[in-house]
Amino acid sequence: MNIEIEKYNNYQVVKLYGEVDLSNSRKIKLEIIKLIKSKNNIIVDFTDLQYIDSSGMASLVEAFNESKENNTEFHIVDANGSPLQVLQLTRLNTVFNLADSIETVSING
Amino acid sequence: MANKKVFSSCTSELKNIREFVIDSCRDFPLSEAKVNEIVLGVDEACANVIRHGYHMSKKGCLEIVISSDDDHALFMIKDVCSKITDKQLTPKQENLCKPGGMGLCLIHYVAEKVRLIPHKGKGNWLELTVKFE
Repeated sequence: MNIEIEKYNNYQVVKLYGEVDLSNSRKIKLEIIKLIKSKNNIIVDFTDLQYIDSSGMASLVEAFNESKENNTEFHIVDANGSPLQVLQLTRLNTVFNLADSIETVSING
Repeated sequence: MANKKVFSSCTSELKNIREFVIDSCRDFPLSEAKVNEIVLGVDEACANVIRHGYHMSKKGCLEIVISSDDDHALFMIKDVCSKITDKQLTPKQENLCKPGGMGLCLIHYVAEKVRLIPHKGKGNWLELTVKFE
């Protein structure tokens, strides 16, 4: 699993690559929460994410809750394949702000 | 015939466990979406063993046994942790979206039957039954 962070307009885009599971989900949580505590709006890009388990989803829920406390935005974009299935199975697709692309979030806020 | 493989309880082994499940499911009459769900269910069960059974120690082991019958596949996860009870395997519906109980809910969603197989000796034998589509 790799993480890349890049700026796009008013957002920090966290691109996740590969597979997120118990071995690396804590790292993701810490990276994203660090950005949120610095008052950044977050877009988590699932485009190249092949797998995520419940520990990964739990990390994102914690980051999402942190963003609410800090009054920052938190979006997930381009969920597809197995990660999209996990979002649907856990019903977290009704909790997170999901969008098709980074551009869509940027336009709609 | 059953596919069987032993893995260490290191979290980095979860990726290898998922690949083993995918390979073993190739000959089963299951859609890609269902295989994805099964991989998730077995992964969640193994992660629970590593986290709660072995307390993240890398010194334990998990044996995965995958077999099939006419209309279903069986996924057995064997460990040598302290015995758990059926009650500990029962998910609470309100936990589905919450960190903590999410993994257990997913296991029960994926498998038609989740049960502990009684056996002599140490550890737990957890069996997931998945019906063919």
